[in-house]
Amino acid sequence: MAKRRRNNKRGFISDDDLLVEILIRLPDCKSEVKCSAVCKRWFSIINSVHFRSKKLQRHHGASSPCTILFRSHGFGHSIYLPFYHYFTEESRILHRIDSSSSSSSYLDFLPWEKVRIHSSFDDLLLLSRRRGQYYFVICNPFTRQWIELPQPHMPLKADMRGAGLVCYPIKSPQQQQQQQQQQQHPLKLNQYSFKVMVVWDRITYTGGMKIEIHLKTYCSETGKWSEDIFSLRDRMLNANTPVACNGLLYWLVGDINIETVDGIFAFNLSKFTNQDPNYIRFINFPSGLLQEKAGSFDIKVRLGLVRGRLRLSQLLITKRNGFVLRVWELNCDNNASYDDDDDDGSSKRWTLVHDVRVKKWIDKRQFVIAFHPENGNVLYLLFNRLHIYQYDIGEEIMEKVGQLPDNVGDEGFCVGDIRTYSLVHPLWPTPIPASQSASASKC
Amino acid sequence: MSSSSTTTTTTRLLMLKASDGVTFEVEEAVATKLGAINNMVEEEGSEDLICLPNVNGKFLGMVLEWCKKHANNNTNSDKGNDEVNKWWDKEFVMDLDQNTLYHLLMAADYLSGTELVDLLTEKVASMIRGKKVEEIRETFKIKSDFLPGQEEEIRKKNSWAFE
Repeated sequence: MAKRRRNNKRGFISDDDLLVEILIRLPDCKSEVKCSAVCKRWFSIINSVHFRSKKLQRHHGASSPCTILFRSHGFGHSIYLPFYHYFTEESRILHRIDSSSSSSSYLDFLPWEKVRIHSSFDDLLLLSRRRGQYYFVICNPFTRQWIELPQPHMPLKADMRGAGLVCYPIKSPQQQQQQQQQQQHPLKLNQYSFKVMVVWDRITYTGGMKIEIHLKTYCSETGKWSEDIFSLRDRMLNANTPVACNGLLYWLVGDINIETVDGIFAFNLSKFTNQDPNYIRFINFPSGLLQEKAGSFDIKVRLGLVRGRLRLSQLLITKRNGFVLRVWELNCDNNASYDDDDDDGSSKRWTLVHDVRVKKWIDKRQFVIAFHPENGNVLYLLFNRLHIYQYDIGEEIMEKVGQLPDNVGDEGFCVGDIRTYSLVHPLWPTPIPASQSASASKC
Repeated sequence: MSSSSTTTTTTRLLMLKASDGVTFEVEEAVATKLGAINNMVEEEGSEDLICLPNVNGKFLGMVLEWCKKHANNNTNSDKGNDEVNKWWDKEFVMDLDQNTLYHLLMAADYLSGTELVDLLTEKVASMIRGKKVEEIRETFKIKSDFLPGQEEEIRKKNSWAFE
């Protein structure tokens, strides 16, 4: 502990340990980056591994800031750009939003007017814009950086169904082993790999209705798209947003004619790019999920991510003016049983985490629209197509936290068309490769 | 640890001597809120005079004032006292000028007053919050020693943080 403390040449706080203690107390990464531009000493401290691990230690267990974006999947202009944003308290601090008035649009820094959100991953969004062909863009809306992907070859006469994004830090095989035990590597450094999957479908009527699914997967490490085609009969990937969890992309599947869902496809994008034919698996719904036609309409079943784990909810209105809400969590830790061929592994695979019967809130049109990405007890419900309520199951508190604008789109929208995208902002924003952020500053 | 037989634990007094010779008579329970003093007391047992050659009397006095408040407020610990402590802490750091803050922080760190260090570092962090780079330099009287172009590069690379 013998240190020279009175060294005025180093400026205020000459002791490095104390300076670290001060800088880890900064509330947001913006202040931190600014501090790194103060002088060489501050720069090297902020960029040191020691600083990062001290900061992680300090924030361990704290709730990350979350932002939920709402988009309509209907027709007209409303399908572009989010029409509503919800920021958690932590996210308001991060974004420096003081009042309840939210900015015009969270994505208004992009040079294109018509951009469509497809999915989110941590603090990243997968977007597309169309100029004859589709162009895909990965964007970090907080840092306002983006990268445009090379263009995929579009299959002819096919419609785009949706797209998903998976992103992870590139690391050595040793670290990879640790990763399986820990959700997040403690020191996210600057190298990331992205994988994107886009799904097109084409319906053919030769001998009954057949759906041809065209999958295109992009991998940032190779910089290339690869593709695969398979067919389904009378069933189709649901138009709801796919959810990425543990490197897999989960997608609801269901009947093509009536909008019901009956299971989940899990796409393993790493296996896909390695041309392993087992990249796709079917996962049964939990046995407690009501699968009558009325029960499994896709607006009643939601997939989402809570603290890096996949959850599934079903909300059913009861005849006595209440609702039943069940939430399951997928057990994806147990890799051994996951890779087994499942006859009926559904009971082992899913854990029922919530089963509540509510009589108090009388409204016949309530839907789960999002999970709180950080708090497993909290879901967001939409009442009467307009009001957003935060429902804390543990505390039994239903609290209004927002209201959708009532003039959305040219034709209005229905609940089934609302898509939500959850952003979880890590301690350090996920970087977008530098070559492309140059294009960001141009505009 | 063996304590001297004549004093009872509640009233034992310690003498703390600062670098400029100023001495303070403090109850043991107050002084041992400082990790460094606590260690000395445990190691040296009956020694009642403790010399602190790295701390000036002015700042030692302030540190001890803080310890006293917290020791008193902690004796009957209920939730109301937490509030009192918080309020008192706020008052304590509110009008500190930078020089005092700096020396106080050094003193608190040297004496291992963990909670006080926490309070003071939090205060310094709040002085950085929301400031531009130039303002931070001005506040803390730091001169940029980057080579030409280096700062621009940091700014360009993280343009999102400098809007």
